[in-house]
Amino acid sequence: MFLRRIRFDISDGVLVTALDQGLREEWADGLTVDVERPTPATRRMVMLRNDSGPSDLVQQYRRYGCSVHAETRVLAEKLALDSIDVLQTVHAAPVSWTDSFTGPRWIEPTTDDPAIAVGDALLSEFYFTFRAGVRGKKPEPSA
Amino acid sequence: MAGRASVRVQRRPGSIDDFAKSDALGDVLESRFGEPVLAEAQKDPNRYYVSTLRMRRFLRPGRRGRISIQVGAQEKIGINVERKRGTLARALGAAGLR
Repeated sequence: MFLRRIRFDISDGVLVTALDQGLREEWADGLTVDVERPTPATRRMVMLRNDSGPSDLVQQYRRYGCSVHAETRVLAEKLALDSIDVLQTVHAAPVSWTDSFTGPRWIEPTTDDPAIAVGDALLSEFYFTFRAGVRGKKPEPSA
Repeated sequence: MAGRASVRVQRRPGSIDDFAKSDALGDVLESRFGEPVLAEAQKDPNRYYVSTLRMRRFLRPGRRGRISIQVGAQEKIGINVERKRGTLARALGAAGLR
């Protein structure tokens, strides 16, 4: 049967929830996990950006970028590596799998793009990317 | 007794491997994949970033060698733009690449 129309659902919330639950135990102090930078910024932030991607029958291949901030470079890198560890095991609808992790890579502050200041601390930032497979479904027929 | 007609198909050693490293395949990869990705990335609003974008061809030699195509910018500006806007990630998606 040829599938003419497939509906893909939002995947950002599933990934944010998985990260928040997976990181909360060790990183609870001052941590925000979201798709946007919080106002005001917090000492530790994990921010996901959905760069989307092509679909193939019932599967869509979405690329994500993830910026991780913490008060020192070592902590930021560790938070990024822990985030990757959590994301590698995500399997909650509509996300079927994650793969193609690259990084994390340190982001050097520049004059145009300085480090975020929270209190007395200048936050360090790491960035990594990955791909999430999102499974679609045939829309329910209208009544 | 009449003999049977038979034919033996034998792959010439190296034929597929040679193709995997050929300029002909490189040309196809560039036009089919590299150029659409480069064209999408060139839409980024940062003019300096766009000026550093390059498409290059690499050959890994040896028996299992392969041709590959790389699209990228100068390293420092490249990673900063990628983390701000995901330009190359979106270019891959726009070109239909998984």
